[in-house]
Amino acid sequence: MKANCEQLLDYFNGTLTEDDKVQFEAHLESCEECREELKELEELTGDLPYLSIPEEPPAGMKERVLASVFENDSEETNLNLTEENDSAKLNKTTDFKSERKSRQRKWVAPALAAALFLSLAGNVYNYMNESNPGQTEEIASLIKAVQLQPSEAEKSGGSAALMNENGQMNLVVQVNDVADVEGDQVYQVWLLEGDTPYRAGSFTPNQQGNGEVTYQVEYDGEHKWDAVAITLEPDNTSETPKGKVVLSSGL
Amino acid sequence: MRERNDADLYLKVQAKDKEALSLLYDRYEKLLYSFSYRIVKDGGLAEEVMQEVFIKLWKGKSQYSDDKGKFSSWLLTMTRHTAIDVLRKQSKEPDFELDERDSLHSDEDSVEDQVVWKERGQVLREAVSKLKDEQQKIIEMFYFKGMTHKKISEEFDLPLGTVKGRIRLALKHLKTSLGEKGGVSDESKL
Repeated sequence: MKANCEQLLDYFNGTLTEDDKVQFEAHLESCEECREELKELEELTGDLPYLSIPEEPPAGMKERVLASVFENDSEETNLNLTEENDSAKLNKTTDFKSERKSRQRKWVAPALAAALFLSLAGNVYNYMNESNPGQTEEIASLIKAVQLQPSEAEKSGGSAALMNENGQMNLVVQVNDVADVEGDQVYQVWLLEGDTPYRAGSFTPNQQGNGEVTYQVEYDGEHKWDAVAITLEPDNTSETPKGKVVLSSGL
Repeated sequence: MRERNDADLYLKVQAKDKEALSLLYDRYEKLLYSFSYRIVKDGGLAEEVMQEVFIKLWKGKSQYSDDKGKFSSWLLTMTRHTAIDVLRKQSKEPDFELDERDSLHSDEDSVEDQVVWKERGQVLREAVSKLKDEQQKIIEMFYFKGMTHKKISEEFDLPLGTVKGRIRLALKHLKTSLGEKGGVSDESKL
């Protein structure tokens, strides 16, 4: 047994260090035996959670858990601006929090639009529908959804989803709170494979700073998209990015 | 349709929809809490696990996509990893004890939504109780306690190279025993 293969159990239990985990995942790519063993372990243990005796959740847990989730979220966002317990900068933190709240409200409409769009994607649920495991009529499925991160401490945000629809890959991008464009400027979306950018749709934001675009990804051959990025371009003809990256995320 | 909504809800959560997270929470609260409790054996710690899990969901730190299988399975795995992590951070040696209640039937809880869980649970517990003690113990340590490969080899006095095989065998016995009952193994994923 190779050294790497011995890490399978710890990988399955999620107890490897981050470095070891990355290494093991690389190993998995090349070791069919480990892949099969991992799959078997997942299958054999799939029902074990149901061994748990139903416990009554403690009163008020939901409020506590969700409060800590959202609180934690805004703390994290504030890290760039202010250290924790730094009372001198407290005002700034407060301002930023309220800014963030309004941004989340604005975000609801496009998010719902995306959800509606995605709910038409039948395979997402067919695949997961326990009562009809055999049915897999493929209409569309989500390959990956990511949140876009602003490059600088800007308040803009957004999301990107890669979808497979009847064998066609679509990239759906939505952004909020981006700066206005001037003249012929557009926001250009790029899919990156290694360092090579591929054009993946462009848009101009509305007055509220929201924008969205759905792009049919039709590049010949096999591609492994590593990242998605949005730049501000002088016009909609750039073959490579000329402006700086405004929002991006790994895929 | 429940599962369809799971996927939808997850996507909304990715878009920072608080309402969606709340719905997802309601849907999974009892299962995830009970599963966490089963691992950490303490109400306070189980709540800590819940908190971690929902923070991860909200931040999108671990991403779900359908090549990862069913959403519920993915969520349960994430919960198990989180619970094992919380357990390890307790820094004490995880005490091993056979959960005696595993061999008992739970009669409480008649909520409709949990009927499937209850049925599965009963069949599973019966099957587990038929395993040899050592096999029950190795499943407990590996799956519910997240003990490392090395620790298991020490605990059972087994060579490192034998551990995987033992675990596999115990799980396979469990599956065979389930198969005889015609219960859970009817599921396509088994």
